[in-house]
Amino acid sequence: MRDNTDNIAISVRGVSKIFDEGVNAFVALDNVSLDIGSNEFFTLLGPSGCGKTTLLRLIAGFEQPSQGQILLNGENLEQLPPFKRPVNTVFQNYALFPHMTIAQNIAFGLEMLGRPRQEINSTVDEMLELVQMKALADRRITQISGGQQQRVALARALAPKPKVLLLDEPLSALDLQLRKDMQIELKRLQLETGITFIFVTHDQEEALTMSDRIAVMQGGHILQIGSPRDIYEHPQHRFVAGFIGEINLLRATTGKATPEGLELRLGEMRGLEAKAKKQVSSGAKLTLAIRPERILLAGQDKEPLTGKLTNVVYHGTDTLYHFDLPDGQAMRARRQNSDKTGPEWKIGDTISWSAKPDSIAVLED
Amino acid sequence: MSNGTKHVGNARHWPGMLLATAFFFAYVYLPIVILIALSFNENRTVTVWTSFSFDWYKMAFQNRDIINAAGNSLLIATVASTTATVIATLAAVRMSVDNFRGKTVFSGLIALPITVPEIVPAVATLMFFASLGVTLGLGTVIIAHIAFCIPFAYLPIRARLEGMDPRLVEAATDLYASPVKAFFKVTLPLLLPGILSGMVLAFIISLDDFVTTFFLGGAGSTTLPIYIFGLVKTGVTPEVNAISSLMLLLSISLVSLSLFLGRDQSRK
Repeated sequence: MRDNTDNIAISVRGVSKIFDEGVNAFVALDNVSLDIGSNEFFTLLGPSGCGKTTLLRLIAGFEQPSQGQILLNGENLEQLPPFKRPVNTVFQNYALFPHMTIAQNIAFGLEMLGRPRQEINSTVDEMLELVQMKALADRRITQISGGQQQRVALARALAPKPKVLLLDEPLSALDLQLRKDMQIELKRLQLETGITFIFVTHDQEEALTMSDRIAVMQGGHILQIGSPRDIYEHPQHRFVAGFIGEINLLRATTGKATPEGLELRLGEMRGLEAKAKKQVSSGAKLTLAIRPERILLAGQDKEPLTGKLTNVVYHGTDTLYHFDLPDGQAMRARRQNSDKTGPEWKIGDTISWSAKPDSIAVLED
Repeated sequence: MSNGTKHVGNARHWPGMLLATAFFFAYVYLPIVILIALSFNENRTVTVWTSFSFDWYKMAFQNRDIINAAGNSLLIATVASTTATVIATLAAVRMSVDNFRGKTVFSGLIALPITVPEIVPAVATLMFFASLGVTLGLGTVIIAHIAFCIPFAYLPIRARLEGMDPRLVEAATDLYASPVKAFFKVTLPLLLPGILSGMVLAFIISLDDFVTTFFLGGAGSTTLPIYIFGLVKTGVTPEVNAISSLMLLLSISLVSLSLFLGRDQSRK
């Protein structure tokens, strides 16, 4: 992980955004603070209405914060209208100029900046090369496909060499295969150009694949910021755990402290242990989160914990086992299909399971 | 659903459909077709066909009064439609970028004159000029034409603006275009088909106008419709047919142009 404290590109400080007034007032962002490092691929992840796009529009300058300030390389952006901010946006629907060719679209920003013609031409060439659209330079926007429009939108926003590139769900209009290709492409562009990317998405897979760090947002708040691995492995919040990937959320009570950490009880069943970060008194109720693929399944009596199989779903690369705990809580475990046949467990069978202490997250609600 | 509903969507299955269609087109277009045919009639008596000739067109083009009237018509229509289009464009852009109290009411008020009987503003404007002691002539006609042309120019421009993605202007300002530059580089070029379409529509409305011109005209402001009206009073000659046919041709060309310019190019 990179060090973000020395070299901060965007600093959001105590920013709130309230739309409308009186009874219609809507708090889109509530006292949000975060720092985004230079050269970082930073993702704002959350469901629609969580405030991620609003935050992006505040950084671009299309909206003004109701409270707080946004700094770019230490400079307050408050007084700067969008056309004076060294920040460019890739819009969700691309917003390419339909009356211009691809080359003219890419040149637009540079022309507005009053760069000399020669420099504009060479930069446009460079950008066309970068997004592999050289052959189509003189086509009109209406004559190219969605994926190609996506590339032009990227080239247009990158051409003026902004300090920060803002991307507002740019892949959501593409079909699955193209979306996967573009994820790799975007990451490549970010590494090649060294520009800070701020990427907005509701797609957790997209966020995990591309980001250096992710901020998970809900209801105008940032719930957790961390690397993809950090967010996936150590969710601190029930919402974060549920929003990213599949997870089992279990009600448990604490037992006594152990050398490894903390003993946990699922109903009457013992034998589960978690690494406890903070002191929890014995008998306290809490929520556990365990990823389905971190549960180790075995036949009857081989592991300390038990369950009764309720469903088996074959997925090709893996198989999903649904089972009920003795106290009635439902769980899912994912098992890699590492051989052709797999275990011969049937619905109704009792199986046993375990999970390593570091695979279990103890959550705040 | 019963079987009987199966063909409801297809008009061919309605009894008498063909007859009704034929009647409709004959009712609307037959008089016009006859007028055009008779404009090529050699005979001086309007209703009796003898042989084909261009004589009446030649006569019309040699008639100084007709040339003057046509000149007035074109002058009034050009000035009125251009001025009205500028005002309508400003109004439409303002209405689209801004939300203000009473916006719906204002939008309605701009388009309202289309539904008001033309005689009302014509008489009102006449009284207005009379009370100011202004001499009626080309100037007063042009001023009145500008007023009634505005809503006709406004509607296509507004429609075009509604169909325009507001993100395009945002994208322009994001790419370092000041609001003024964004307007001239993005909004105006994209709006141009709507503006031209509105202008052509306003031009035709002004060209065809009789009531307002009749009330507010004076010496030297005779337009083609007014001149034709004068001719008809003294008896219809094939010359009237010839001028009418030419005006029809011009109107149809301009309406086609307006539709052509206003079509949605963004859809494939």
